[in-house]
Amino acid sequence: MKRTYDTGMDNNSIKLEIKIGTVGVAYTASYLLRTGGQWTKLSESNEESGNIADSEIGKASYLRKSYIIIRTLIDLTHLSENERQIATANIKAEYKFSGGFSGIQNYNFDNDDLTITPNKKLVTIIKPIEMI
Amino acid sequence: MKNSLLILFILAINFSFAQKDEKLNLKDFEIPTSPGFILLDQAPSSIERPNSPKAFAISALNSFTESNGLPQNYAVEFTPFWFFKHKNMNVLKYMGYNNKEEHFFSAIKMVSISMAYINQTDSLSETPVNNISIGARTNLIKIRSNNNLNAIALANQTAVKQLKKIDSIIVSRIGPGNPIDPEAYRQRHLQLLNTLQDSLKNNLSKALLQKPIFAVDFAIAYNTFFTNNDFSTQQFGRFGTWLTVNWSLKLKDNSNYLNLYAIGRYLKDGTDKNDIGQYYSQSLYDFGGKLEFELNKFSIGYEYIYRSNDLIKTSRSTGQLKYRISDNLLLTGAYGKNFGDSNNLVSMLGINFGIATGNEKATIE
Repeated sequence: MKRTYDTGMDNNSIKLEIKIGTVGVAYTASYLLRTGGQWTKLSESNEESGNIADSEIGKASYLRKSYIIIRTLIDLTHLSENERQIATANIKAEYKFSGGFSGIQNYNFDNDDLTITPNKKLVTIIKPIEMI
Repeated sequence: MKNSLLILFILAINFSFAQKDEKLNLKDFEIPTSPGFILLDQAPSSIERPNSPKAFAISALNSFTESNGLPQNYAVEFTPFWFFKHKNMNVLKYMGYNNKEEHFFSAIKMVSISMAYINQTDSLSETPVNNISIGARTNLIKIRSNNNLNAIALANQTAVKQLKKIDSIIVSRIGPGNPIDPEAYRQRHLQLLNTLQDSLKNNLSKALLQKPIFAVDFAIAYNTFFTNNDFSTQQFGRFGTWLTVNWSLKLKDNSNYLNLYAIGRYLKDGTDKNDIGQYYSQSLYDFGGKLEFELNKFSIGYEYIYRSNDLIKTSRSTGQLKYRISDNLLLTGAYGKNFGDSNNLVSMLGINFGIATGNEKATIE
């Protein structure tokens, strides 16, 4: 489900922090998506977790009228079938935006952001945030 | 009374399972080693440690000496860790490793809680005795070999690279998302995921299958019992707490091990009667060890435990065999001498089997 963030004054530095809680192997990347489908990767997680530390993703003037798409892929293949079922239900994701007119905004993922393969070995969360 | 206990047991199962449609699989059944069984000396082995605590497990145990076709003793065990969201969890924390050093105490979080229902017959009066036990166990210390830690780190790196590659393939084909028409994007995205997930190699499972070279486990259990199916006869049975130390030596590959165990246990026992027929409590101390060979699907072990206090000196000496018929079917048996001088034959058979009535619900939130 799409959410919005008011970037405010042109010079505002917009920051993004992502925290993913899962027992699976996670990889997260944030993208800037503009009208017309052009996209740019902004940041990505490292091999330790699906988290992305609090960091600037751009000035308000650059980000306004675009979408920030945060994609997290989670590999649960090392778990048993039942554990995958539980692990899928217990994923935690927090997206924190700051620096804009909206101040600090925390978003979680919604059910329609989640895509789970039938065998539950691979899960993705795609969170779109509209920057206004 | 017996029906009440069975209802209680079924409620415990329903509590552990939740609301999503999910069959209870063969894998949900576990070897009967829950603390409730061990406390009453009803497990095939008194010295045992789980490889990895399952979210939910059911044990069924039968005795050759009292067999009437169906198992008489049951236990349900669950691990609360699996039923909560963990804000800062990641796969390395889950495994107790941070890519630099191992967290020896990390597995404490995987404490499991169990409830066991055990049928016995009083050897003197021949009256039925129904036992209810609750217990908990966890791993206190776990030390993996350097090779194992390196394998975990490498498997994690590989898995992250695979995910990154999958993400880049999807994004290059259909973009990172489509906020205008998310449902259409979702459908195409799922199709791609289904195709690309086959590239996931799952090396972590192999790395995690390797046993720690050293582990210390803690367990605690409490038992109460009823005689002659009468609730008013409720009586304290036993309380026990014990530590198990385990060394594992890898013999050939990840499935062949020589395991050496040592156990120390404190037991408060209230199941004996004095000369005037009244139950009384006594403290007992157990010390022992076990040698076990794990050879692929087959394992064989022998254990000896010495039990003593000021008045009692007795021991348990048993041999155990386990055979994994398939990934979902495990046969375990034990034969030997239990504690005490009478009614002390150990002859047990435990088997993993499934229930699929269609009514099982599982959830988990």
